[in-house]
Order: sequence, then structure tokens, then C-alpha cells
Amino acid sequence: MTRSTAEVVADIVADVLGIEEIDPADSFYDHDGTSLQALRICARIERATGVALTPVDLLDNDVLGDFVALVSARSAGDGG
Amino acid sequence: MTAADGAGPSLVHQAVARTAERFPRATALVHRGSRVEYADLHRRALAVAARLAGQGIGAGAVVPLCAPRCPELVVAQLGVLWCGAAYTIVDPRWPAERRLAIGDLVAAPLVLAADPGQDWGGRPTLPLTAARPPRAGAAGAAHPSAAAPATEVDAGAAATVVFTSGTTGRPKGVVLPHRAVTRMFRGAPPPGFGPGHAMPQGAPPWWDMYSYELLGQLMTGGTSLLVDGDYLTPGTLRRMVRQDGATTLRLTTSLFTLFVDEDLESFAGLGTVLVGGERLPAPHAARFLRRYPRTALLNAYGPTESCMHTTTHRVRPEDCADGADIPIGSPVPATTVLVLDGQGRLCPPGQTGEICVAGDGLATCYLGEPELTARAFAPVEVGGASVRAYRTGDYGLVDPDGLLRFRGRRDRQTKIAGHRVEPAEVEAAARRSPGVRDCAVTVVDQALALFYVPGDGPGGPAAVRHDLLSRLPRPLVPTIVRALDRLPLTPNGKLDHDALATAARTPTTRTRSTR
Repeated sequence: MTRSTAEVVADIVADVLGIEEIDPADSFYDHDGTSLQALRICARIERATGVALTPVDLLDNDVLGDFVALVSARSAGDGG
Repeated sequence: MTAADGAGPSLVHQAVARTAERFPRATALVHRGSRVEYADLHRRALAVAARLAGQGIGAGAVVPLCAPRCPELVVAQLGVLWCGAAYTIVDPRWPAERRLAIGDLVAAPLVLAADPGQDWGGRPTLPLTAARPPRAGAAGAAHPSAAAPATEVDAGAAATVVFTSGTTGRPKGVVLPHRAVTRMFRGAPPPGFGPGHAMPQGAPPWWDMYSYELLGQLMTGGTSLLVDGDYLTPGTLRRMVRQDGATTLRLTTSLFTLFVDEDLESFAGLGTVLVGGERLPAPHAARFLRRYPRTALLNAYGPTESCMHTTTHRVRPEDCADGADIPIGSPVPATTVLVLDGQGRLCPPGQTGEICVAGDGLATCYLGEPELTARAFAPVEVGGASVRAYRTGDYGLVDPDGLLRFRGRRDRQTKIAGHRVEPAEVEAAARRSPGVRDCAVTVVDQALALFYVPGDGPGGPAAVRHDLLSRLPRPLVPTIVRALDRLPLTPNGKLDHDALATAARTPTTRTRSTR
């Protein structure tokens, strides 16, 4: 079964932040997220989904649910 | 430990002009897919110089350039240098308080800004795009060399002022002369620099490694690939290798380890990778060399006060045994390293002392801080002669192979993602917050952490952090902020770092972030 982009992204964010599961209403900053963690998340998402991101995409969309939606939308926009 | 220098121009703008003369059609800059040739860069720089000279800018002036990385910024830098003046690069997102303090410190006669509407406390502000070439037929366009200001400065004149974290709570301006920037690029280009080479420019423009990446290539005939935005990602690196022919890369150590962890293949195609700013973990270096045995991996060391690198070491597989401490190596050209004991005597090989640096890389001074300058750049006696040397505050030793090794800090200075952070500067800023009575700043799990005892003023951790964002550049703002009833102390009265780390790892009650 193929997992959706949203699921893949949510898992990567949770893994890098060291939490079980993300709460879509949480901010990246609520988890003391650093810019290096943001870069790690982006690098991992790009490898997994092909969606090119920069840490600013996460730092400016720090509510995790918004960020997941942003990546999903870009992924759909790329035809995949 | 000393290395000699080469014979090229010792002034930055003249070294770039010489490249433009030798390779006029070569690509100097690439940004967002468009290219700037050397001849064009040179012509535009002279046009800016003519305009600035017309505003009275000359030797001794320091001009703030407030812009993100872009070709116009590079043109403006060279234009200022052609006037005999120096520049300091300011991040447009820095808090107004810091921006204005910098304008005062350098006594800026005017400011060139990407956003000329930005408040500089009444200082004249011109658009950075004054850096655009003048209309055809306008003065200076047809015969740019005729318009070049005739200002003569020597290699000891200031080229740039770099602001770094200081312990006083004020921005600390390190004044770097031309010779400090040119010294390692005057002879044969270092590995990865010069014609045929292209290098991503990802260091923040306000940092001295920006000069290394950008001017290092422009003074030797290589191409600088200006990263769009703040961060080079592994994906961007892959595209720069594929589309722009990147051959050379510099990364701070924490980014290098991240790239190795997440996307080792992103380095494919590079010939030289330079890493520095923090201790290089041996397992990451080993993984890199196993995958890229022919790529030069250089471990570099150097404080801003001795511009760019002080020492480098080409990492060998035998340096990377588990738990090994990878050497920081041997001095770069025109640079001397002295390891001195507490009495100022040269340490024999194997003995740990303070790393002191002499040579052409040294800063002239800390701007407006004569006492601090005198303390940090005191002369040392070596072999009967007195030389000016910078006391780094780093401990090190020279190993039996003659290679320098890093052994820690004398004080509390630390690195976050490769950037120097003085906890005292962050504490000074936090104490000014109405919500903070007492505080301590430390590093927990590679993140900057602020612990504070709440004051009478309003505000929880999010508000305190928000307040700090209005006073400090983002890299100095702690990502972990915790309120405590009191700061934990060890039985002998020192700050209890273990207890702080435990507090940092305990999640707070969630408060919506105000950033």
C-alpha cells in the first residue's frame, strides 16, 4: 500500500523532532525546532518525495499541519 | 608554524580587476540561473565607485551594505573598495536596534540598502541598485576606467568589518584589512579555486567565510554560485553540480555531518570539500572518504580575527579511526600559529597551550574597543622578536607530525551550527527583558538554551523569546527557553549544567508560538 505524501512528511517531521506523532496544530517552535532540524527535515522530504524545499518553507509555515499541507500541494502540483 | 605568501595584488578590488583583465568573458557569478561575466562585474563596480566617490565616499569610510546575497551586493562591495573605503554587510532582517547600533559604530556616511525605505536613524540611504550599470551614453559607461576613483590605499587599509558575537552585549566589529582577505589567494590558487572551478556561495554575507567563498573565487578566476535564499540544501547542491558545474564546496561542520547523514550522494562530482567551524566527527569523515576516496576533504580552523582560515588539513583515512581527533593542520599562506603556555612561552610539541595567530590575516582592531583590542592582540615574544598575535582563547597542541590539534575553549564561547555565540551576549540581552529576573544560557543537544527566573514583568517563555528576536540576530536567539523557579547550582556554587540539560529535555506546557 502506498502511503500518502502527507503521511510520509508527518513521519519525517516526527522522527527528526524526536516525538511519537505530530499534532497538526503544534508549531515547529513548540518543539524547540532548530534551523538545522528544519534543514534535515527538508533534505529527507526531498529524497523521499522529490519535492524541493528549503528550511524557510518550514520556518515560515511553522504550524506543522500547514507545512504538511504545503508539501502535499507541491507534490500534487508536480504530478506526483 | 608559518607559511609564505604569493605575489598577486594585495588589494581585493585590484585582485578581482586582474582576473577581469585576464578572463573578461569568464563567468564570475551565477544567481537564479543568470550569469555575470568578469568584464561586466568590473565595469559595474567602477560605475558604483564613481557614484559613491561623487557622494564623498573615500578612504577611512565604512559603508553598510544592507542586502541579501545577490550580484548587486557583490558589485557594491567592489565599488566601495574602489573608493578606498570599507564595507560592512548587514542582514536586512536583523533587528532595527542592532542595525542602528552598527550604523553608529561605523559612523556610516551613507547606507546602500536593498530596501532604501528601511530606517537607518536618518542616515542617507541609497538603493543598492545604484549598483546597476548607468544608461548607455551616461558618464562612466563608455570608458569605465576613466571614471575609476584614483584613491590609493595600502594593504593594511580596512576592506570589511565583520560583526560577531561579543561578551559585552554590544555587536563586536572585527576590522579586516585587504591583506587579510587576499593573503591566501596571491600565489597559486588553493585547491578548488581558480579557472575551471565553481563554488556554491552559501555562507551568510555578514560572515568572514562569505569573503572566502566569494572573493576567493573572484580573485583567482573561478565562479561563485550564489545560493538563492539562506540555506544550501543537499538538493540544491546536486542541481549546482549538474547545472552549474560546481567543483568545490565549503560547509560548516554541522552542515557537513547533516549532508553525510541524509544524502551522501549529493557530494558526487565535487573535487574539493572544505569543512570547519566545529570539531569534525571522525565517523562522518570516514564515511565521506570511503565513498569519495579521490575528493580532497579539508578540515579547516580559524577565528574571524585571523580572516577566513588559519590552518587546514587534508583529511587522510588514517586520521578517521573511531574516536580519533582529526587534526586542524598547518597554517595557510602568510599566517603563523604559535601555541603558548600561561607565561607566554612557546609550548614544545605535545604540550597543550593557547593557540595564538600572527601574520597578514590579523584584524586591525575591534571597532571602538581599544582596550579589548589591546588585550586580544597583544604582542608576543618569539625568538627574541616581538610579533603582534591574536589570542584565540582556543587550546591546542602541535602533534609529533607538526600538525595542530584543537583541545577546547578557555571561556564560555560556543558554536551553534558553526557560528560563534557568546552566551554572555545572549544573557545580557535577556536580562533587559521585563519578564526576566535572572538567566543563564548554555548549549543542550547542539541547541542554544536559555533558562530564566521570571521577573515581575509579563510574559512566558514564548514572550521572552519574541522579545529576544527584537534585539538579537536569529542565530543568537535560543531555540529552547525554559522558566525555572531558580537557576540550579552544584554544591560548590557553580551553575549545574546537568540539571539544566534535564530541564531543557523536559517539554514545557505547550504555548502557541509567537516566534
